[in-house]
Amino acid sequence: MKRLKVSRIMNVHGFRACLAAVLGMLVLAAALVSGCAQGSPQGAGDPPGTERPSEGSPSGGAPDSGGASAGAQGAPAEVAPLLYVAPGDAPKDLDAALLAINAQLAEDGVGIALQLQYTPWDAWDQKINLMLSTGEKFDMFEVMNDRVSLSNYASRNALADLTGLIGEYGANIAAHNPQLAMDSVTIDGKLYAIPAFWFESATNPEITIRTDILEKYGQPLPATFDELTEVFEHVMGEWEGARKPYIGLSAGGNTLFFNIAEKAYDEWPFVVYDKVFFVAQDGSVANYYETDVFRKNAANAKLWYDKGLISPDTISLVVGTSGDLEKQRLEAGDWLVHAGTLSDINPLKANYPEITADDFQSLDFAPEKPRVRPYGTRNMNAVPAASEHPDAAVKFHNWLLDSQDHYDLFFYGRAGIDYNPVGERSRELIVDPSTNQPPYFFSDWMSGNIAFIRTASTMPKVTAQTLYTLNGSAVDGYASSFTFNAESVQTQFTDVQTAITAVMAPIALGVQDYGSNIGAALDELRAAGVDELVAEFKRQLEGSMR
Amino acid sequence: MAAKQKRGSLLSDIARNRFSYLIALPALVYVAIFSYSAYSYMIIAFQKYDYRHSGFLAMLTRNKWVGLENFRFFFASRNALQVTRNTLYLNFLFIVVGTFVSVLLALMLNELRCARFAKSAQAVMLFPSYISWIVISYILLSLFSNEYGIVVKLMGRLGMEHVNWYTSADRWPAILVIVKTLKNSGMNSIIFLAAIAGIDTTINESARIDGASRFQIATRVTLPLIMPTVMIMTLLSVGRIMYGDFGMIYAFVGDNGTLYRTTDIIDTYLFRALRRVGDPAQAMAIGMFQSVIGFVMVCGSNAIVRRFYPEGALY
Repeated sequence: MKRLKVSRIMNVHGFRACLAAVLGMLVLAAALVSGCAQGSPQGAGDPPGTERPSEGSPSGGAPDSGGASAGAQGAPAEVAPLLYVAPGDAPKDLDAALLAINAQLAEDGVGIALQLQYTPWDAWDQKINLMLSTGEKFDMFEVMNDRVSLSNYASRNALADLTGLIGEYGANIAAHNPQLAMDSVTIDGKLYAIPAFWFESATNPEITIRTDILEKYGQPLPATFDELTEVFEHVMGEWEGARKPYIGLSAGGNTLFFNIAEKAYDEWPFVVYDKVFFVAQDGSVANYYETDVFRKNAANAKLWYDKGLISPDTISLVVGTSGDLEKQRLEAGDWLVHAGTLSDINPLKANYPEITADDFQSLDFAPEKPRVRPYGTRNMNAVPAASEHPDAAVKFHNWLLDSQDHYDLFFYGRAGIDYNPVGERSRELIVDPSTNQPPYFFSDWMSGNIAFIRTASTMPKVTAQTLYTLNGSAVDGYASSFTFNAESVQTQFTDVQTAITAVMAPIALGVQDYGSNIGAALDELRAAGVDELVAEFKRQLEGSMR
Repeated sequence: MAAKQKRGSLLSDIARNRFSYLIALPALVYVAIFSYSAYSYMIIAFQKYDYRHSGFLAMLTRNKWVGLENFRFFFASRNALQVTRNTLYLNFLFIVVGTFVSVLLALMLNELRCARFAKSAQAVMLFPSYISWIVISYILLSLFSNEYGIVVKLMGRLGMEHVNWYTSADRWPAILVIVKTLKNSGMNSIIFLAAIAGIDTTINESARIDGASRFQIATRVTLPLIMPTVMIMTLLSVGRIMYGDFGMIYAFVGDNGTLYRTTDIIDTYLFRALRRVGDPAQAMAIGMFQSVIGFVMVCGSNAIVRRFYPEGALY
């Protein structure tokens, strides 16, 4: 009897423990399901009282845990929702800004209500693929040709054809995008996206030099590569900082290895695509590593490497780490020459409090020669084939490019809250100390246009001039309206890129000597299929020209 | 009749242990949704993927069948053999060294008599598991980089020959094994420690009365008794032998091609191959290849274990 009682007590305790465990498990399961479920864009980010359009509204596209979204408040039934899926993290005041944007859209009678859904960068490619493949209802998303290209999506029938819609609703889109940009979103005669022609691509080779450092070390502004080498060597020798001011290059980065002198070569103008395809202005295509241009670039890199102007770790600086290290060096101001542009001088002020937006110059070793525009744009907004109102994206873009006020409102937010306009082309950021970002902003590179863009007042003037002003003397590259589709030579493309980083990078970055290593490196490249790859590029390019 | 009886016994077992089954329910739901229900979509590995046909029936009837074309891009590559070999070789090293060190740690922790020290030692050993590979990549950089590397500088001071670690591909399998073992062994040893805790203490007591030393008890009593757990853990690891640790390799090697010869694995190769194409069908094809090989490896290893050491077999 006593034993039974103990056993019953045990059972009661066991039952409670079990119940607690089961409840815990159910909570976990609920969290799991809700975390994975395709929720609605009217999530936590929506303002109270937001109503979701019922019919024809985007039914999915919930951000995952790291994402955020917001919707339009009280959109009338005839207003079509426009769910725009963008990479990155939502700004803090997204909801409030969207209220203002949608109020303006309503006032202007555009007939759309914008909803923004952010997907964190690390999940972007998978998430967008999943949304497209499951037929999820959303209306616009970001396409980056340097990631998964527009032609790639189009070849698998993921996109809506916008040709007729742009003709009908997109007068401003056509007016503010040059033909080159429109060509970048055209495949087989059909417009598959709205271009984001947000910067001037005719900038190669990009070389920014610090005039405050030149002044400090009593050096003149160099006009040739040889002069730059001499000046840089002098500064490196006299450098007072703890971290040496190496030029920022990396094996896997976006730079074409070491190319800063190439505008002065006899072969200029030309463009090198995907670190392989050398395209001259007469339309001839070659393997870049078999050209004289590469030989000269490699020789210059070797010269700088031997003089200690390129980091001894340049070959080993892997993307994630090197990106950060290069960024640190750049932001700390420990540099004289940078193979790129600088967007913000604020971080440099920690070590160089006197620095101003005027303390930078862009070097051009052959100013008499035109720069080359390698492409119209690599960024664009496409509409998924499953979108129920593809016209909404076109109408929205057309509204954006209708006036500076519209552009400012969508990209920079509310004047006096998110930014302060400075003159016609600049803006002062109002930074929220808790995020170190403005309360609301939308990146220009995603959907912007060079005719309306306002650069930050902390941007070096030379950057604003180089990137955000159309270069009247630049010429369009021969293949500038062409995007290579590597689908049919994917194996060769991957193998060649692998071989480039394995055997060409050391030569291209000056670590190894060109003369004694190029033969074996070219053999590697040929074995990887570079000849087939170049032939396919040429075939596609000629086809697109026809 | 027999089947009916069996079903009856399962139902009565569920009725008898309903709470246990209830606890297992979320895991079962998870597996059903994310594993079994996805099986049917493996057909896309043999099709040209079309985003317009997202339903299973539409895929089945309207997508174009392309046979083994989606597998071709990988197997036609001159790097396929190298990355497969690297994946198998590195995982083999991780499994062998990792298991050995984890078991050793568990045995050593079990022998500690000062409870406070045992607990703090365990906490210290667990700590590396929570450090991300990115942070560890910075630690490695501070050790081995030419500009900042402590090891490089120390070797220089000792008059040793300069080594460019980040271009010496042959040294990296060892570095990867050491780092992975240091990171994960503390966490893995907990499982073996739990197995040791489950051993009947009277067995150890009997051994002690019979005059066995602590070393003899550890090696002749404790170790054999946790071997089934060790074998099961090893077999489970073998099932994933075709899946490399992408996070680790990419954080350490990234696009440093000079190290590919010994560090490029299937996952990093696919990342490079598919990031510009993003074809779900090709991703599925290679995922399927990895799964099939993993399945064969688990079945094969289990068969061998069942024959020579039945207590350690999974089934």
